[in-house]
Amino acid sequence: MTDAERDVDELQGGDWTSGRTALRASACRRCGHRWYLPHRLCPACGAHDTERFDIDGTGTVAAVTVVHRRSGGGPPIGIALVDLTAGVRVMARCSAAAVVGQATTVRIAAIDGAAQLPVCDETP
Amino acid sequence: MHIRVERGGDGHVVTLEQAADCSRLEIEAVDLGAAEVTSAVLGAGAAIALEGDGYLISVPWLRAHAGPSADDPAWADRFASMVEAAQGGRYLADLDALPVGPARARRQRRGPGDAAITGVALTPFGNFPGVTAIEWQARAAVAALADANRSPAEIDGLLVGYATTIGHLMPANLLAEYLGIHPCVALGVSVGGATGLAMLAQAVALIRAGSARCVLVVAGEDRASGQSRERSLDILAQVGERHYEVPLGATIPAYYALLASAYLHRYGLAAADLAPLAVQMRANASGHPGAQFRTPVEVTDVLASRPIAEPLRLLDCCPVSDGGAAFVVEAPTGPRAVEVVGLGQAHRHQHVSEADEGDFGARRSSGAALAAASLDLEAIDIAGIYDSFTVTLALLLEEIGFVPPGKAGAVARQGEFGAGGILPLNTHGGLLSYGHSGVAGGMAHVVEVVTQLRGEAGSRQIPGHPRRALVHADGGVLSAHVTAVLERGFHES
Repeated sequence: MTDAERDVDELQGGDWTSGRTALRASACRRCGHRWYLPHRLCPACGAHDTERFDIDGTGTVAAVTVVHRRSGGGPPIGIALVDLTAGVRVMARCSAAAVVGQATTVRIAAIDGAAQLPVCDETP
Repeated sequence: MHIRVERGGDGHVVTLEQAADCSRLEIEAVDLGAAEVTSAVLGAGAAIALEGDGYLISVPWLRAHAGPSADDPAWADRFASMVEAAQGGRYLADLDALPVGPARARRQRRGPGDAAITGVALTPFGNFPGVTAIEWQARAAVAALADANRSPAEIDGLLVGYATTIGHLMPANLLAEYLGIHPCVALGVSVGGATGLAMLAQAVALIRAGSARCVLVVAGEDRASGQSRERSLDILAQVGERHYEVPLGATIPAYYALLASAYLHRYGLAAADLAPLAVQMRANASGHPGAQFRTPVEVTDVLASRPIAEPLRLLDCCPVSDGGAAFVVEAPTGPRAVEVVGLGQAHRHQHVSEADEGDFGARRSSGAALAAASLDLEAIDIAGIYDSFTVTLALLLEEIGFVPPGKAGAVARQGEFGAGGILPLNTHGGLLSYGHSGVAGGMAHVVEVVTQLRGEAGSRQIPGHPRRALVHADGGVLSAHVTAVLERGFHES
C-alpha cells in the first residue's frame, strides 16, 4: 500500500465505504470549509490542519436524477445530491419520486442486494 | 503587403505576399485594365461595410480594417481608386497614413510573441469501424499540416490528447513515431473535454516563449467502434469519485442530470426548456456533411426520446463517436491565420459534490480570456461552446454571460443561436449533433470557428464577415474550464 493509499484508507476508515453505518465529513480549522470526500487537505484553501468526524444525515434534496441507462443494465435508480445540515453535500441513492427541496435523512443501508450505500430515507 | 493580379487559367490569378513593411499595401496589375483588376480584386464575395468605428473591407483573401470616421466614405473610395490606379502598373498605399482603428492599435501592442492558428482539420464523426485511434489522429494531423502549408518536418512541438481506446501513457510520442516526426517538445494532455483548448493554450505559450516555432495539436479516437458502449460509459463515469460516487451507479449523464435538476429547479423551468438547444444544434449540423446526425428534430422529438438520466433524454446527450481533429499553431503568417488574442482558464473542483453552482469557473475563465484580448462579449461574432449535454451548454452560456440566467433555452427557441441569430453558436452542430469523439470533439468547435472566421464555411458561412470568436470548453463535471478568443485580421509576417 502506498502512502497516498494509506492516507485515503485512514480517512475512509470509519465511514460507510469501509463497512460502518456512518457518514463522515471533514472541516478545515483554518478557513472553516466543510467537505464530504476523504481529502486530507482542505479543498477550499489547501490547509493541512483539518479534522474528520461522524455527521448526522438530515438534510434537503438539492438535485435528483433517475438513471435509466445504467452501467451493466438493471432497472432505473434514483440518485440525489443532498445538502446536509452538517454543511456538506452528499451523493445518495433515492426514490424516483424524490424532488428538489424536500427534507430527507441519509442513512446507510444495503441496497440492490449489494454493498452498503448512502440512501435517502424514503427510498423504497 | 504585395498583391499581384494577372490573367491565368480561366480567370485571374491573385497572389498575396507578405512584405517586411506591413504598413504598405501594394497592388500590381500585369497586363490588365482597371475593370478587370477591380473585378479580380474586389471579386466574388467582396464587400465594403461600415463596422463599428471604421470600415471593414472584406474580400476572400484580403481583409483590412481602418477607421475611425463612421460617416466618412473616404477609405472606401480610396480603396476603390487604389484598385483603379493599379491599371497597367503599381499603386502604393501607405496604410499608416490612414486613421488607425482599435483592432490595429491592439495588435501593435502585442508585439512579436503573437500566436495564431494557421491550419485546421476535422474528420467526419460517426461510427466507422476499422479505423484505429492513432489513424484518426494521423489523418487529422496530415490534413491540418496541409491546410497550414507545413511539412511534417517543420513540426517542432507536438501536443496530443488522451484517447480512451488507447489508454497509453505517452500519446504524443506514440503519434510522433507513427507520423515519422521528431519534435523538440512532445506532451500528452488530459483534462477531459477541456483538453483540446488546454492544448491550444499550451501551444500558444510554447510559441510566445520561443520554445517552439510550429506546434501541431492533435486528438482522435475510435471511441464509438473501438470499444463497447458499456466500456465508454464506465470510463467516463470515472470523472466521479471512485469510492463515494461511482459505486452508487452514477454515470456521466447522471452527474450532468444532477446539475440539470438543480438548474431547472432554480429557475422554475422544465426539461422542455432545455430541448431547444438540442433542436438548434441539430439544425446547425444539417449543414455540415461531416456531422454524425443531420436529420432535423423538434422539441417534441427531444421530449419523446428515451430517458437516459432524467431530466436528460437521449437527444439532450451527445453521442459517442469516432473521429479526429487537429490544428497548427505558430506565429501569425498569411491571410488565413486566425490569431489567438486571449486565453483564460479556471480549475475549481473535480467532483460534483465540491462544485460551486454559482461559480463553476466559466466566468473566471472567459473573463480572463476577454481581458487578455481587451474585448468584451459584445465584440464576439461567433461562439463555440462545449455542449456535451443541453444543460452543459445552458450553464456555460449563462455563466459566461452571453444570455441571462435561466434564459439559454428561451434564446435558443427564438433561433438566436442559428447562423442568422444574435450569436451563431456551434455552427457545425456541436457535440450534440456533429458528434463527440473525446478530445477531438472539443477541438471541433475551434476548427469550426476558424473556418467561419476565414470565410470558408461554404453553405454554413454566417453573414457579416465574422471577425472574432470565443471558444469555451469544460472537462469533468464543469470541473476544468478553458476559453480562447480568436480574431482574424491583417497578419504581419
